[in-house]
Amino acid sequence: MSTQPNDLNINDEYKYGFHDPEVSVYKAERGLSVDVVRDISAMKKEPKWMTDFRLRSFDIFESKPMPRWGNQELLNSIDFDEIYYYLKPTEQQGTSWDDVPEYIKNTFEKLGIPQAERKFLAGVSAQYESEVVYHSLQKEIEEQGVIFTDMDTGLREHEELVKKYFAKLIPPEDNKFAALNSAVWSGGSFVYVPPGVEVTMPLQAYFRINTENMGQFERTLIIADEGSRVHYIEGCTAPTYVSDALHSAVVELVALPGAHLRYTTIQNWSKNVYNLVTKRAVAHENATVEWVDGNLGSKLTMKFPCVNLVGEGAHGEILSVAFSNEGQHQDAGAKIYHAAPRTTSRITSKSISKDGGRSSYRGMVKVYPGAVGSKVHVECDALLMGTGSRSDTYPTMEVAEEQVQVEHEARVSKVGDEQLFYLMSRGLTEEEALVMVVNGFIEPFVKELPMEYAVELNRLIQLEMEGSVG
Amino acid sequence: MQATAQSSVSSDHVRAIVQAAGEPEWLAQWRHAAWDIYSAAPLPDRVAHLWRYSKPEKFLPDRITPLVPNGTAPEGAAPDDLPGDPAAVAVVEDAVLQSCWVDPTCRDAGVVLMDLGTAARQHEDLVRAHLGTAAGADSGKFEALNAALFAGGLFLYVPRNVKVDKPIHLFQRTRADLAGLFARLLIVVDEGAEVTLFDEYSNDGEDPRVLANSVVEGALLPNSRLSYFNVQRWGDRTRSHARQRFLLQRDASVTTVNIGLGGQYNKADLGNVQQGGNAQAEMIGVIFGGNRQHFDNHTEHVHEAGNSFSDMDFKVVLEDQARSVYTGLIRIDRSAPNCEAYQENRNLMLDPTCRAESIPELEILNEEVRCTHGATVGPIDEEQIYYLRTRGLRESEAERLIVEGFFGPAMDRIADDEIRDLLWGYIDAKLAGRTRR
Amino acid sequence: MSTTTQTWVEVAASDAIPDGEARTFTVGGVRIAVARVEGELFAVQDLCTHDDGPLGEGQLQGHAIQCPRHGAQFDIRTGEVLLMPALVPIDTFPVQEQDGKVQVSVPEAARAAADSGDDW
Repeated sequence: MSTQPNDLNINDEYKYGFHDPEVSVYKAERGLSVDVVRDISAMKKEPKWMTDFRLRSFDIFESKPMPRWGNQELLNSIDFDEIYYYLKPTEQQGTSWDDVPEYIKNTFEKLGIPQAERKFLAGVSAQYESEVVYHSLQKEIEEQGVIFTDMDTGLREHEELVKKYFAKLIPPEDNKFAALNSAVWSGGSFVYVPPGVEVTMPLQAYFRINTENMGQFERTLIIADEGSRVHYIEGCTAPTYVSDALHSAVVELVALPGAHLRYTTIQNWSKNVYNLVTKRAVAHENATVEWVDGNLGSKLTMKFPCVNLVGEGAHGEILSVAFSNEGQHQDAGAKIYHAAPRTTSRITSKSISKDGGRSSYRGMVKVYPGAVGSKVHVECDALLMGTGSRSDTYPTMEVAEEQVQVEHEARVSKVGDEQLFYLMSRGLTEEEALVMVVNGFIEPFVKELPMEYAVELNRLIQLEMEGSVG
Repeated sequence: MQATAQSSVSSDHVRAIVQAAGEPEWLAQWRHAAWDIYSAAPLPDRVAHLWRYSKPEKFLPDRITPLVPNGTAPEGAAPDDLPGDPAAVAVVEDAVLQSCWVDPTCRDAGVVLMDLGTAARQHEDLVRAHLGTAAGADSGKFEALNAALFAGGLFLYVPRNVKVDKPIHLFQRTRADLAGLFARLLIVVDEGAEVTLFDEYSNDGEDPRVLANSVVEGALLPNSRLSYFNVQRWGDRTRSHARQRFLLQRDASVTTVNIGLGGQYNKADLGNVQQGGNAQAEMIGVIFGGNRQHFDNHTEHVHEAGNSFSDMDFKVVLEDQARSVYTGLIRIDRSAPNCEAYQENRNLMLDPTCRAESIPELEILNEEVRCTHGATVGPIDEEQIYYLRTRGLRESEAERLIVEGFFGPAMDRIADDEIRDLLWGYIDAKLAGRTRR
Repeated sequence: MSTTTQTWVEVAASDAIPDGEARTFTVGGVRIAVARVEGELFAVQDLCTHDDGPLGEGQLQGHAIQCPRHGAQFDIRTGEVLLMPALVPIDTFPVQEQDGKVQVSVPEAARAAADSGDDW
C-alpha cells in the first residue's frame, strides 16, 4: 500500500506525519459513555473486577473537574465528545513480523521498528491505535522468567500479579486524565522481572496513532522484583491531522528492594496530539528508578514523571529534555517524594523554546518528616531561540525535615553570541553552529540513550532546527 | 482607642475614617469603591499557589475593630527622641500621626512628609496621580480592604533632583487589643531625586491581638533612587498582611530590604515593576522565625521594559515550630529585551520542628535574557558548631555566629553602615531573646 | 498510649455514627474522623498526609478509608497507608463509648502540633 499524502499537513518536516487508510475490525462510536466502557471491557473478556474498575473510573472521570492549573486555553479546548476511545485494528496479535497486517507492517518498517529489534533489543511491542499488534521477546530472556507482554494479555495470563499492583500507584481518583485512562485503557505493556534477573538489553514498546481524532490510552505496569535490573524504552508517533488526537497514558513502575529500573521515552507525537500522561514510580529499599524523558512532539504535553522513595537508601533520577517549537507547549517536569531516611534524588531538566514555542518546567520535591539524611539536587536549564518563545520554571520544594540537603538551580539564557561566532569562525554555517550548540546543551540527556536512539534524537533536533536562521 | 470584643466591619467605618480625617470627596469615593470591591471579592483561591500554604480567613476583620483616627493630626511636632540624625521622622500610633518632623533644609527643598489624608487635600494632584497605581484595590481582596479602611497613612514626596542625604524614619505602632491597623504609605520620588527610608512596624513591646494590614506603594520617576528598609517586629500575637510595590520608570533604581522578625501569622507580597528601560531593582529579605511563627513571603520582579535588572536575595532561618513559605516570581515580558534577573532563596533549619517551602518561579517571554535562580533548604552544619565549640564557644553562641554568618552576605549588601548596624541590632535582639535552649 | 491519664472528650451521641460511616470533629484544635466498622469505633486524623484532603468525607471500604481528593487509602485501625498517592501514615486516637456517647482522647503532643500558636 502507499502512504497517502497529507493534504492538510501543517508540518512538512515531520517525517512520521503520514497516515495509512483507516482499516479496523472494530471502532467504537465517537465520544464516551458507560456503553463504550462496557463494550471495551466485554470485547476484551475481562474479569468482573476490571469491568467494575473501569465503570468506577468512568464515574470519577465524569465528576472530576479539569485541572485548574497549566495551560487552561489548550486544556479547555479538548473536545472529549469528538474522540474515538477505542479502535481495534486487527483481530490478532503477531509474534512473528510476517503475521502483522501488511499496511501496519509498512508503517512500523518506515518507523524502523523491526530493524531496531534485530539490532539491539531484548523484546519489542508495537501498539497501533488501541491494541498491541506485534510482540516478541527473546527466548533466553523469556526463559529467565521475564514477562514482557501487552497489558491485556498480562491481565489474562497473570491476573493475580496484575491485580496486586494495578492502579496502586495511580488510583483513578488521582486526576481527570488518570480516571479517563482507567475507564478506557487498552494496550500498553506489562513487564515483570523476577528477583535477581538482569535484562541487559532494553525492552522496547512503540506506540502509533493512525486515525484522526483517535484517543490512545495505553496502560503500562512494570514490576522489577528484588535485585533485578531492566531498561524499558518507548517511542511514539502519529500522523499529522488538522483535528486533534488525545494520548493519555498511565504508567506505573514498581522497583522492589535493590532493583534498578530505567524508563526511557522519546515522545515525538505529531503537533496535533494532546499528550496528557500520568507516570509514577515507587522505589523500595536501595532501589533505583530513573525516568529518561524526551519530549519533542505534541501540541500540549503535560507530563511530570514521579518517583516515590519509600524505602531507606532508595534513589530517584529524572532526566528530561523538552523541545518546543511554534505552536507547542511542553509542560514537563518531575516529582520526587522522599518518605524514607537517606534517600537521594537528582532532577536534571533541559528545555529549548524556539520560534514561539513554550516550555515549562513544573517540579515538586517533597521531604517528609523522618527522611533524615536525604539529599535532593535539581537543575533546570532553559534555552530560548527566535522571537515569541517562552520559558517557565515552576519548582516547588516542601521540606518538613531538618537533616536534609535540598538544592535547586535554574538558568535561562539565549544561545551565546560568542559561542556562535566562535563556531562560525571555524567554518560552520550559522545553522550548523546552532545545531551544535543545542546538541551540546542536551548532551547530558543524549548520552543516557542507547546509541540508535541518540542518533535518532540528534536527527530529530536537526529537523526541528531547520530554517531557524534568517 | 478601645475596641469591643465582637465587631462587624462595615462601610460605616469607611465614613467614620473619612469624617475624622476630614478627607476630600474624591478620596471618600475612592475608599467606597474599594469597599465595594472588598465586599464582592471571594476569599483568595487556595488552589492558586500564592495562598496554598496560608489561610486567607486569618486576615478577615471578623473580630477586630478598625482603628479610626480620633481627630486631626498635630502639626509638625518633633518626636522627643530622634533616632540618629534623620532628615525627617513620623510616628503613627493607633492610626494617629503623633509626631512629624522634617529637617528645615529638606522642607525648604520641598520634601513633603505628612498624613496621607491631609496630603489628599494639600497635594491632590500628586496623590491622585499615584495612589493605588502600584497596589490598588484591584490587586486583591485584602488590598481592597486596606484601600477602604487605611487610617493614619503617610505620604512622602521628594521633589525633582533633591537628594536627601540622611535617612527618613517612619514608625507605625499600636498597642490596642483586637484592633485592625490599616497602615498605608505612598512614596513619590520625583525625577533625579534620591532618598533613604526606614519604615518600622511594631506593637511597641506589647502583645495585643492586632490584625495589621499594610500597603506600601511607591512611584520612582525617571532616574530617581530609593533605598527602602522595612522592619517588621510586631508582637507575638499580631497577624500581618503586607503588600509592597514599587513602580520604576526609566533609569530609576530601588533597593528594598525587608527584615521579618515578629508577628504570629504573616503574609507579605513584595515586588518591583521595571516599567522603564534600564531600571534597576535589588531586593533583600531576612526572615528569622521561631515560636510557631508563620511567614509566607512572595517576591516579584516584573520586567516590562528592556535593559532592566533585578537581583533578589531572600534568607530564612527557622526554629521552634516556625514555618516559612517563600514563593518568588521573575517575569520578563515580551517587550523587555536584554534583561538580567537573579533570584536566590536560602533556608536554614535550626531544629527538626520547622517546615520550609520554596517555590522560586521564572516566566521568561523574551529570548534576549540572562536569568538564574537558586534555592536551598538545609540544617545547621554540625561540623561548624563542633569547630566553634572547640574554640571555646558555648553551643548557643556558636549557633548565633552561624545564623549571623548565614544572614551576613545579604546584610553586607546594605551600603549604609549605620542602617546596617541598626538592623543587626534588631536581629541580634531576637537571637538573644530566644526561648529555645 | 502514654501512661498519663487520658482525657476523654465527648464528641457525639453513639447513634450519630452509624455503621460503615465516618463523622468529623475538632478536638483541642485537632481535626478527627471517627468511623464505625462492624460495630467498632475508630478515630483517625481527618487530614490526608498526601495533600491535606478531608479524609472523613471519604468512603469507607471495610477498614480502609479513602481520601476523596486523590484516592489515597489508609487503614483506620493502624493508620498505615494502603494506597498511594499518600506515603506516610495518619495518626490514630483512642476512642470509646460510654453511656451512649462517643468519646475520644487526643494526646497533648497532637494538640500541640495542631496548635498554630494563634490564641485569638
